[in-house]
Amino acid sequence: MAAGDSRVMHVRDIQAGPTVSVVLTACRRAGAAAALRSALAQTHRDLQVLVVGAGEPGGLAGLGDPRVRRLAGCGGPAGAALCRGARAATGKYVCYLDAGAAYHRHHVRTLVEALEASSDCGAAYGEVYRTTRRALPDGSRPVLGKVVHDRRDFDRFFLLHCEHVPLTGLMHRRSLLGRAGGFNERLDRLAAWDFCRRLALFTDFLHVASVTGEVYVDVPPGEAAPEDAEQPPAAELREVRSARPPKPWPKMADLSIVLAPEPPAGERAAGRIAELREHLYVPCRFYLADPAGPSRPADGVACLRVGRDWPWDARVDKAVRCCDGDCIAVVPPAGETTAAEITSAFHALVRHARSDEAILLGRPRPGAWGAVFRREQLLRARDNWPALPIRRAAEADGVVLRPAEPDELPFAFERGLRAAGAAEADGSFRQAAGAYEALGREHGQVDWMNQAAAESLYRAGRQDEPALTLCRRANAASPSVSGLLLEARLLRRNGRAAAARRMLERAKGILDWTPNGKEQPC
Amino acid sequence: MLSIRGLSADEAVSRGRTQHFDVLMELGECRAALGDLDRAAECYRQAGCLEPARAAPYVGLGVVALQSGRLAEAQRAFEAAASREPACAEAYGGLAMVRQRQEDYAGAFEMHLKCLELDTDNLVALLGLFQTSCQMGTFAKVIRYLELYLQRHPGDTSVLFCLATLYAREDRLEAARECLLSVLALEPAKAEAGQLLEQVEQEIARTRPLDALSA
Repeated sequence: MAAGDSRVMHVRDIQAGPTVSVVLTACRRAGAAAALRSALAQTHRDLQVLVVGAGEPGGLAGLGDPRVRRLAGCGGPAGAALCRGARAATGKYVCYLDAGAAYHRHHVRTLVEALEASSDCGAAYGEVYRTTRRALPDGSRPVLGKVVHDRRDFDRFFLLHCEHVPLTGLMHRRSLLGRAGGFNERLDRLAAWDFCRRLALFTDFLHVASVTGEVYVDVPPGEAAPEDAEQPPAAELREVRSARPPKPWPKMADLSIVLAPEPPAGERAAGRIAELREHLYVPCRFYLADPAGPSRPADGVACLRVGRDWPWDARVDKAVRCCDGDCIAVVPPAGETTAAEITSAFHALVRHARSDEAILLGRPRPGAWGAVFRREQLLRARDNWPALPIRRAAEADGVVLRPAEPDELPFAFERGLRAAGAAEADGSFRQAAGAYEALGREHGQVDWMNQAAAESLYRAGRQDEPALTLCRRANAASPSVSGLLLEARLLRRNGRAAAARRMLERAKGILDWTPNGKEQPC
Repeated sequence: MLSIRGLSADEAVSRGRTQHFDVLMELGECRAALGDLDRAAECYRQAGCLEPARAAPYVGLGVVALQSGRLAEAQRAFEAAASREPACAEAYGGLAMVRQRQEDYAGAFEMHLKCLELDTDNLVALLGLFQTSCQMGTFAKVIRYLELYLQRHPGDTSVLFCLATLYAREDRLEAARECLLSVLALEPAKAEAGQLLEQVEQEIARTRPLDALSA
């Protein structure tokens, strides 16, 4: 097919494309008008725009568009408004926009095309600029910069640990809403992350390595930007981590954690579980086999009736029979097994281990071992060897118990990033560049890592040609303001002012873009 | 919880705070280098709007005005830069160039000195100081700054040559000879260094018997 034919098909597809519901929450922030304008300006025309809330004083222009539907009521946490909008969505796909954010014109089209082409991903996300603006007293908002701060590919464990998919960049099949349970109306700051976490139990996310929107951060003159990296409210965090949408979860193993403290721990066991839950980010349930167990079981904890004279193996056996998780962590009877040890072993088991392997928890001590098993593996071993202690039964049944290898631990990419960042901080720029390139090769985040490597080489000096090669590759695949600025600096340092000017004019074009059309910075 | 990102959200904002400014300044400099002075000035003006307390956009405007021969405008721009950032060496370097063009050598000398006090590495100011010294016939202060500069950049033959010239004028012939030998070791084809060395060595030869007699 000729290129021209392909373009004709492309246009026809857009015209006949599926309906996309855009949920615009216009509750508490200024900027709803601009957000709505950016939604209505999409190249994909088949939209249902659901505006939750009144927007700015004076109302919203664009409400007369037949594609826009206004939903009343706004009070309460952010999750409530999102929930209201998502419930009203009727499109095949749903995406989200907040007052204080904007879509680029191709946002919906890009994500629809990605999802239509993918048979196994129910959600996709584009990259989003974090656009810093100066909030001037006259109401103007000159743009200070546009930086994509997270360009990583989808990583389920990382998403469970922290928010890395921006809600403004997300689009998903509407059918997932029912399965994942929609937004939690009680959550405010973490509502979006909670929703993405639950979606991730049901689908993979497709990362579209292209910037398709922006989120605005307004800073008053002379003031530092508000930091959003601070710890989120503890109560919300607990609620997010304890969320368990109805099973089955086709994309995530559920973890049952069995504790049978020796000697019986009583109320201390409840404290131990609370401490572990504070740090466990994977979905899990606890099974406590303690004859002196707490009088009032907490949510997510099953307290089992066991006799005081029961040996440890018998108590664990009883708990194992009750577990409904795909994997079972048998925690050592004594000692301080950490949440990190449990998640590391769980990660190694579900991502790396062979079907006949189980992963030991931490460093085993004499008489006090623990491990994460696949449920069916452990049950079969107990059925086949009921007279043996649990570990010996598993081994007799052919299960190999081994510790997790360092490269099987979660967040290998993040550890690599940290190491490269530390090398940069020490001034070892060439070493940092090498580390970034290796991370790109090993983890498939090539463009992002190429740009990071190019930046390190630029700072190293006398490495401009390799830096330029890496930077060009990154900018050819997914240009960003930072990437274009770096390429321009490299070109200018090498006397190529005309080529540098072209890069900078592209960067300036991106910086000048606003949903209201081009504006002078001040 | 969020600390293990590659680039944290607040880091992104902190980078973002100066990014547009950086793009405008770089673009201004590219345009100026390519002779597109009016559009370069437009970039600097926009950058000045974004960061009104920064000196760099005014330095850029001053340089553009200087290149266009608009000395009064250049002076205003460099003064604006110096008032925003009193430690901005380039602002004083620019003012020195304006004064030099106005043939106010004493004023230019003072501004070059101020620039070098703030940035001993500023080669433009150093050579400007050398030129104004030649116009005024006073060299003592220049020698100090050239020596300081050479401590940091011992292989800079143009500065070495200037210093040799000044030593020769001050009758410090051995020091001049040493400088010129260094220049020729680094740049054997530098003809003016060879010529000056010849003159210096003749002068040394001429004065040595007298020294011996007086001893």
